Amino acid sequence: MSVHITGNSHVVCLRHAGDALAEVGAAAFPLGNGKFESERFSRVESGRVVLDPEQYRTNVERRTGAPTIGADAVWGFLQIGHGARVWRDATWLTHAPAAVAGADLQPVSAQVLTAIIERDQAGLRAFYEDLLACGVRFFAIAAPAPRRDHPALVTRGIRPEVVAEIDRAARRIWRSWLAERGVPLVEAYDASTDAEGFLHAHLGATSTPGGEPDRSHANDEYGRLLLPGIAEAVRSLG
Amino acid sequence: MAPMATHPYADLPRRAFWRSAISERSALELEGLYEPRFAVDRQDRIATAGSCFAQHIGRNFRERGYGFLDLEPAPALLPKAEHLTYGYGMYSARFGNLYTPRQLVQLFERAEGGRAPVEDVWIEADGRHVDPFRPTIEPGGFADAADYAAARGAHLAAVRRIPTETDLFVFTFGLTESWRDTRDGSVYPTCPGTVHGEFDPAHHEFVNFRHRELLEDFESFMAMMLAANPAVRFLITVSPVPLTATASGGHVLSATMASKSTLRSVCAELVASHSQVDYFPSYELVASHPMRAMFFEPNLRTVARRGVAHVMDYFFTAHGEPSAAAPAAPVAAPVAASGAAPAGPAVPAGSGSAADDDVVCDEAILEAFGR
Repeated sequence: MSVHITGNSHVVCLRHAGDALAEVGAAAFPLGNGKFESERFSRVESGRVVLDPEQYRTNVERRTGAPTIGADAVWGFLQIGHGARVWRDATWLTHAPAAVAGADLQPVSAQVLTAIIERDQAGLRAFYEDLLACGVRFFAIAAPAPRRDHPALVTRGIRPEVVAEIDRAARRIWRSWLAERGVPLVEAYDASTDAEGFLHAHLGATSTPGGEPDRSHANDEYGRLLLPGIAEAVRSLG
Repeated sequence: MAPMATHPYADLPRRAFWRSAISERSALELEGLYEPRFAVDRQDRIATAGSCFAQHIGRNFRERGYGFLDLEPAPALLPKAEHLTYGYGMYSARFGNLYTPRQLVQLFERAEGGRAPVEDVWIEADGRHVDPFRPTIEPGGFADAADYAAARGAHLAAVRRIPTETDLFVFTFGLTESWRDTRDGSVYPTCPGTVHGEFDPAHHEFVNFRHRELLEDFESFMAMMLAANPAVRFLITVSPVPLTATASGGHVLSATMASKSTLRSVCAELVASHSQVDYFPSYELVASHPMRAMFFEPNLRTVARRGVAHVMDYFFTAHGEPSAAAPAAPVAAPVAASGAAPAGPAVPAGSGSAADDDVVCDEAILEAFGR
């Protein structure tokens, strides 16, 4: 049985975990840019899931021999169900979740925030529904918590408490949605975050594989925190 | 030689005579029905409020590039299709529909701290919190007390800004019938127990506002606005939408006529008494009998989209704007009582009702209670 671990750029934290993943018969590779995730990017054809973005198809075919996803392997997907696309948006310079809005930002109710987050998760949810419809055995892997040095905070000026609140809400909604469908979720949230919900500084990647400064992703050490959960998920699905 | 006989009617314009203004014209070509008392231009900051028909007015101001005042804008990430669901962009703040001037007055009193309602939250069985004064603004209610308090605080802060940040306040009178709390007189936009909350006959009573009360309430509101901003002007209208239901004990048609007539009379009184007030005849343009109900859907209550387009075109044309609603396809004009087809342009075509997709009418929920 093949086990494929893939996802958006956050899968970089598993790039040096080859040996550990191999122990459970798994290998990790990048699927492609996360920008496609908020809109529908998949469909079902002949009992297999077809990925619409060409880079997704190309990467899947390069690693599996087929450009589509079927029930012949176990899959783990590390994608953004945690709201990074939401919390890094300039919306939060004028608005904030009600719990942290204070006096100068317009409060966004829990219900409206949920609507925003669900809209952001729409493409990913559709993809997972497609996987379930095709009988694909798969699990989700949580992307890392937000970093305090992320440009959305440092450069754009979005408040840390706003980022953390949205991240928590998005994870809560994502966990609930997955649980309702029986999709296992591998997380390292408690072990990787500080009291405010930010990624511990020592778990942040310092540079991208291309050598650019990295203020968004987690490092190999974070990846190692995921490995026990991945192994457990593979065993449960295999 | 004796001077030629003359009298006050001799030199009146054509619009003053029924035959030349109505009988001999297409209902779609009425002239001079609205002659603006003052100009409205794109530099004006325009606030809107009122019954659900008022939503069309605000939306048209915004879409045509006027300075629509939106003091509680939607978060940009919320899909536009969901804005109305949560009361965003409906009016100048998220107050939902304000059907009576009493509601309007009390809203500003609450914003200024002069009114603290006895019943200021409805807590549902599942713990969700509903604002009694805008019960549909969050369809499922607020998550908890803190969620509700934050939203209410921000909302009332936005309302407080309206007097000083508005050049033109547009209000559409909708109803005379309402429900209020017997303990402090607080008026609700919907009867408790219909959309949210629980009806308690010990504390909730029906009220059908009289002409004097409606007039005094709006003048009280005007006084408050003018005290903060002496230059503010008011544009008032009467919603052409009939009552969904009446609690008056009478027939809904009679109740509608009484309600709309009273509101129309109040508007006339306001215009006669205050130079800062102008009236726009949206009621006449849709619901008067020369229109032969052509702008209503078959239920004779819902205003069709083409009716809204007709009303708004009439308003903006009077203010020097080009018509926005070119006829997409001809629809036969209605046959006159004489049997002769009136001359004039075709009715702008448009399918669907205005209420279907782009306005939120709380009172329409009463339809579900009909037998």
